[in-house]
Amino acid sequence: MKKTINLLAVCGSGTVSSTMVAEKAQEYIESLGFNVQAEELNPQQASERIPSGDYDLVVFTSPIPGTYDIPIINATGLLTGIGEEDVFEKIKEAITE
Amino acid sequence: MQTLKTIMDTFGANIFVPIVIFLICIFMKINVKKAINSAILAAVGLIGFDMITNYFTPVISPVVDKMVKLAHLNLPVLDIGWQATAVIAYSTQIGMVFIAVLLIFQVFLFAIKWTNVFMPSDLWNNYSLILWGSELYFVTKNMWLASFLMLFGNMVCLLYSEVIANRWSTYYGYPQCTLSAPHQVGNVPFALILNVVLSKLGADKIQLNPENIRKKLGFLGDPMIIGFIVGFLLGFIGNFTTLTAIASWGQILTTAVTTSAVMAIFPKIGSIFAASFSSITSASQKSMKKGGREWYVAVNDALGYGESATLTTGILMIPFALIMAFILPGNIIVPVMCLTGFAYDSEINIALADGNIFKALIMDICIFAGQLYIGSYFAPMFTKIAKQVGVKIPGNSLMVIGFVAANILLGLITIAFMTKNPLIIGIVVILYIVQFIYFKKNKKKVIDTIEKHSDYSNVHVAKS
Repeated sequence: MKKTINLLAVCGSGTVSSTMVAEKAQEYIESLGFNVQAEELNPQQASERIPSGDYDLVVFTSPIPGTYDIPIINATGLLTGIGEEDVFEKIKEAITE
Repeated sequence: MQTLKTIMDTFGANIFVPIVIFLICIFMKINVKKAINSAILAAVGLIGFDMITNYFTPVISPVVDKMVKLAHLNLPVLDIGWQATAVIAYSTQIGMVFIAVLLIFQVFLFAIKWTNVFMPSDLWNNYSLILWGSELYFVTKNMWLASFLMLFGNMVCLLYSEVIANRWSTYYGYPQCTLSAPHQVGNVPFALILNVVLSKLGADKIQLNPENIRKKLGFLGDPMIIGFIVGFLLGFIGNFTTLTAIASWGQILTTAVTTSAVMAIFPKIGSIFAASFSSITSASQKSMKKGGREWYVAVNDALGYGESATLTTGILMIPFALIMAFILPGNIIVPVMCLTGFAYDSEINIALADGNIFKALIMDICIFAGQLYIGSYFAPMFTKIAKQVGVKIPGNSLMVIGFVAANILLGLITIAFMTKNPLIIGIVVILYIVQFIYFKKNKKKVIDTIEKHSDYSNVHVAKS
């Protein structure tokens, strides 16, 4: 049984760029041998939902107000294609810990 | 084109759009499994959109009708938001063909160094060019003119995208990134002028602190809450004279929760539809050749949305937008779905004002006023296009628009093209060419001047 990672992707409206980032992150995490359950929200909704403990990892393109216990990664690189490897590296570190 | 029209009419947007997406995927050498996935995602998004609007309009339209009659307000145009506008634009007869044409055109302009901005990486926002072409096609039935408008509009956008690139990238702290979305960069010329004029009038002396405002008004960042408040307000105004009747409260609260539901659910559907573009976007990014020159990647405006000053300006804009819609003579739009999106539209203003909320808010207000008029002018046309692609709009009085379809610059260019007068169109094209040549020759000077006007002694550094 593969472990499932609950992934949250956050962008301005929880619509376009969060979806694109979530897809890339999901694909990468799956290639590491995990299952992924991905969801997209806007920063305000995210700041309310993250404390509920529903997520293992957050990737964002718009900063989320507040501080949290789970890894929160700036995934702008996945959107621009610049520094994509760095983002993947950080995701790997966060989930293999 | 005739064959295309027959195919289009037979299958409708829900079939046609996914097929085109599939073909573009195959063309971009994306594997078949992903291509099929992208195509079906598009279909699911389109159908989800039908479901939502067909549920929402019968609830909201009687309320808007009542409000119009009671308050003697002539606001029969409902703002349906950018996600819906995008879906409509991509569902038009020329929409999907043009996404392929624009993709090739943008790669070409980048390759021949006409521009330093690689626009295909924000492929999604091409709907904001396509909708103008669709409107022009609707009015003139001239496919060549409509095509020319879209390509020309694209070049204008790329010019302003390049003009603002350094400022946006510096303020938001994303190296080599810029905006290219036509409904954003179309505001650049106005924002540049307003920025200088407002400085002269002393707007730099007042600085607002974003953190406090944001703490107090942060809940307004949730579309669900905004939807409830706006739905409630519309219902309340519509039923103002019958507030003692229980039926009125039924309608007020139904409108409130329905608007809230639409605001909360719509981004999910928009997200499904947008996902169908992601494979093409990343494939086009891979094909970008990084030569030894200065270049910028076009990014989605979501990247600046969450920055404190930007989001705060966007939230503060909500009451102003509502008040303006009600008091500006000649306006016929009631803003609903745009209310949560002002942070996007504030980005260029905030970057130019270097984080000064007070100044950016005034710029927002001026530009929004212009958009109300452009939107009011184009609403009948946009509504007919929406009906053509299958949006059910009850009655004859109600119309729809999205504020993306109310961009001042692109609206004015489209109006010029609508005259079909070669002289007027020629003048518009020459205006562009003059600016283009001036910018290319004096690039450093232009960028330095913008920086000079956006640099304050009390420099506010963006924390993104």
